[in-house]
Amino acid sequence: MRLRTWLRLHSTLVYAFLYGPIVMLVILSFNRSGLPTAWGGFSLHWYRELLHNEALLNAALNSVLVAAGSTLVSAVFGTLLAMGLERIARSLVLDAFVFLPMIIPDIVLAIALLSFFTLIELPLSLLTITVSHIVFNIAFVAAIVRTRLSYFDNTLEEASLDLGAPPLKTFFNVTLPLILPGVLAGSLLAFTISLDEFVIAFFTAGPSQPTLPILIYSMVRFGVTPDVNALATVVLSVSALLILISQRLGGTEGFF
Amino acid sequence: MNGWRELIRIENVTKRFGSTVAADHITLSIGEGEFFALLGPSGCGKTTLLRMLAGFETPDSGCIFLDGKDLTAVRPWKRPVNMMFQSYALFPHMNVYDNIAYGLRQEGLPAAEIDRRVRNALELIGLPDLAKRKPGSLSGGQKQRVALARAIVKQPRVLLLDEPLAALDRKLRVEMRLELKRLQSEVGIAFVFVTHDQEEALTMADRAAVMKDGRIMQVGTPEELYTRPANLYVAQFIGEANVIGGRLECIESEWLLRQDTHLFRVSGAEVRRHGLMQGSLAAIVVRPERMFIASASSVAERKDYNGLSARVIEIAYLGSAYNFVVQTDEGRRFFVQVQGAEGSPSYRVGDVVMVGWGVEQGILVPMDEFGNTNPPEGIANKLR
Repeated sequence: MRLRTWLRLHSTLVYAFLYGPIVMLVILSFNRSGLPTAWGGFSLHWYRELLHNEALLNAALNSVLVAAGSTLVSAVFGTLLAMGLERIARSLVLDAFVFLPMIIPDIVLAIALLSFFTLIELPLSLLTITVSHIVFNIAFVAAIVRTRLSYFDNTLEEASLDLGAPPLKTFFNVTLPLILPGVLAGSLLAFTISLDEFVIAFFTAGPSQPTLPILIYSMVRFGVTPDVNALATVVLSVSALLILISQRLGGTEGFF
Repeated sequence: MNGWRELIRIENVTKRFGSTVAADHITLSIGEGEFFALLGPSGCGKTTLLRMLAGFETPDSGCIFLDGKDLTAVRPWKRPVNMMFQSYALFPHMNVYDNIAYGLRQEGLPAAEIDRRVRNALELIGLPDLAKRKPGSLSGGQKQRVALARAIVKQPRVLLLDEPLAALDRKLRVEMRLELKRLQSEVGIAFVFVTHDQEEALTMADRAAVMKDGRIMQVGTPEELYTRPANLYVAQFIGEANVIGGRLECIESEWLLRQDTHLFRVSGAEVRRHGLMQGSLAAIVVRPERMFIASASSVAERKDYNGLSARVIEIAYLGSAYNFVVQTDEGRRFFVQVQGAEGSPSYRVGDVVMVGWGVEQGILVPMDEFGNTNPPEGIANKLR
């Protein structure tokens, strides 16, 4: 009993440490006074402010564009990559190279990408951020689709071929529907990562089209307005929701 | 076998996987509407041969003909051949109806035609009410029937079945043998099935090919395989066998087989069947149920049987029969099955008895290829 009490206390503290600041932020976003030190009563004032802050909304739109674009491309190529790795070229070396972008420090990737874009003289813009995000997003999608593929019974494809469906038709009729939960889970994860990615975006962004994390960073340097709290709460909710959905889809239970 | 017409011709087909030879110059004909078994232990190449018929594997050399047309280079989705997989491979995201309709939809048939044929197929397998169920909610036997329906609904020229009954429990397996046989004669399609279970092959197949190490050891009807095996391997693989290996001698126009110092009488017809000669290595194979067992003093020496004095070392009651293991003074062991024995057997462990077989009951097989003359260890073990 005593041990259990201690463990409960311990886990409470750990969770408080992890989520305390976030909970603070969410509470502050509803604080009329806008000051972190004084509670001025509950209000949706800062959310209304947010709706009129064009710079912030623009940055948010940029972020969504980058995230959506990079996710779409990564979903297609990540899935193809996963299938290739699982079916055609089973090699530990290739595996390592594919999953490297997930573990390489962001700053290294950021510098590398910036030098690369400079080298090929591609002007920095939303496009360069998107391309950069595709680099690591492909790895995330491929990793998740692969776990799904490892459960896949290959005789299902043979059955489809045997029944008269050529390979491409077999892929769309049988393979894709069965690995779709993995593809969606990977895409949602990629989308969330891309949405709040800062370091790489900071290095590869053009001067006039900041993403949300970049804009907020620059605002912090000149003093934060409380509507950032509101925006952060919105981003947080969306991310949490996506992660939840992706976890649901990633599991095998409840599908068949 | 009346009106037998060749449907499939496998000609000199060889397939290697790395250093193992899965098919070694196989030549084989399968007839129209025939129920044909590929029988052999795991790793003998029977599944590879089946997969080459389906088009999932390509022969390294040799050709496969169907209706006289070369099928070797035809891709799986263009072959008039369908397969039932051992794991059934039902599409988990489609219901039973859509699973069965899948193949027909690939042909682009009109919806009404598809519907009619799927309903007929569901009727044929006796599951008309399960159309809307997902495969995940079916029992093993039901899945098996759906897989069968999905494969035959396309009315292929040949249906391939990979260990069709292996995933079922024993009782269902025996039932499904008859069911498959009934279905096959009803639809009239040639069935080629792979199995490692000789009983399954003998009860279902019109003809079977016994395979070993990528080669065909013998092709024949179940009766031919059992009563006239071409070699020791087939003799031992199909059914139980007592084996006595030795060298043939012809003394005063009577054929004998010498093992060590003992001479056994051999049927002259059997010697001629294999074209064997004086001095040939051969083995006598006697099925346990063709052996007799009698009290030691009851049988006089006669020319038309072989008899030996032996001691009973094991008795097993099988319900419909008794199995005896007896051993002679020289250490030869025999496995004797006495059918229809009711009540307790007349012999006990330790009794000295006379065992033997009529000369015509002894099957002769040549032995030049297989030096192994000892009866398999398994015979005594199977009694326990």
